Amino acid sequence: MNYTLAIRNDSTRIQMFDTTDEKAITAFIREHQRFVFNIAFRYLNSFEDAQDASQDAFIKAINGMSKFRGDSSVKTWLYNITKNTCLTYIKKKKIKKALSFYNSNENKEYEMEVIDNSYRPDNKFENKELEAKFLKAINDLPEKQRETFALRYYEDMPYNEISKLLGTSVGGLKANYFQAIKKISEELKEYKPN
Amino acid sequence: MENLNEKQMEEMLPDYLFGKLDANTAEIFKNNLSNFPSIEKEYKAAKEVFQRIEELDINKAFDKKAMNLSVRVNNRLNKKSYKSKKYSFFGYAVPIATVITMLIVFFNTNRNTDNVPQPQVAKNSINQVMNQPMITVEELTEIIDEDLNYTDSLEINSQDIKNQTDELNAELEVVQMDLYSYDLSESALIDELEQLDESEFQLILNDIKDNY
Repeated sequence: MNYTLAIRNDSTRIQMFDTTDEKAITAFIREHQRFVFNIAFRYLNSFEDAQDASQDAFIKAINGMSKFRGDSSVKTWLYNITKNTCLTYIKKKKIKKALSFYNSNENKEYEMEVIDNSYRPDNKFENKELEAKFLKAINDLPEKQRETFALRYYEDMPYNEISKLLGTSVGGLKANYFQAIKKISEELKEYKPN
Repeated sequence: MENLNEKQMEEMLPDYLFGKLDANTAEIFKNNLSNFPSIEKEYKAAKEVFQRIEELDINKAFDKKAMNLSVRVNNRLNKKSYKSKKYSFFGYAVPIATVITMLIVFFNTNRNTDNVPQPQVAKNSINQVMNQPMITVEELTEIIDEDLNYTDSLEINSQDIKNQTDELNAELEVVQMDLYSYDLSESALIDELEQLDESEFQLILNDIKDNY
């Protein structure tokens, strides 16, 4: 269906969006892809799964734009879509696993993909190791702490926005954020700055 | 100088660490830090670790992984759009065509029964029955008379049987009367036998042997 929708972005600017316009879709995705991908990765712990889930989330968002009333910010709206998509993805994966469609090699993909960071010219073993441990440390955090850390550290979301998303008070979020930083620091204390 | 408690310091630490506090609040935090040695220690440890992590630029890895997302989403949307158009056409066209075809077949079948091939044997049997001449009144009367005669004959036979039964009953009655009369004359018979001489008795005895 071809329709145009006004989206109030976080920075309060108005974004005109035609859901059949590839350029508009591309611009919309590029603006939010890191955000969506980060959320997906936090839930799925796999780059490949996060890519699939991110695509699903964007398709759901684009197809469901007519339902978006602008009561919340685009990020809040996208966060909820991505989170639900990931939860569905996890359920599907569990079912697949239960039906033995998954072999043991696929469970190792997280570790494999994190280590495979050949894009960086100054790639060092220690960096790879630190990156893997950092991602693991985030993954090991309790859900609320992990979510708070990801949304605040990576996405720089305001506390009141995160509060709406996670249903936690601003004070609670700040405490969660501190605990997350503390735990990550303890996990990675052996690594000193270069 | 505004004094902060430990909880307030803990809540501010991450944002101070990543430079997210406004200048005034950051200054207050900085001035209070020395009052909380444990928090100061946490701050220093976190600063070292995250300084190292910032060097990794992990976002770059995420950006690379999410790079072609827009292309993939557009491709999937285009495919979906094509599929939905395709299925929307077939979704209506196929059932409508099926219903129309069924209606045509149904009406043609009912209208042109003769044209529908039938098994030859069945068709011939039907024709034989249909081509038979109608029965006449005379023939029908004859059939009815025959039936009546047959019924009469059955009645006659029944009468014969009745007569025979009566005759048998009459004979049985005579036999019974003889037996009765014999019983009544039993003593007289004994008297007669006592009066028989030997030769006459032997003749009677032989006669009984011959008959039984």
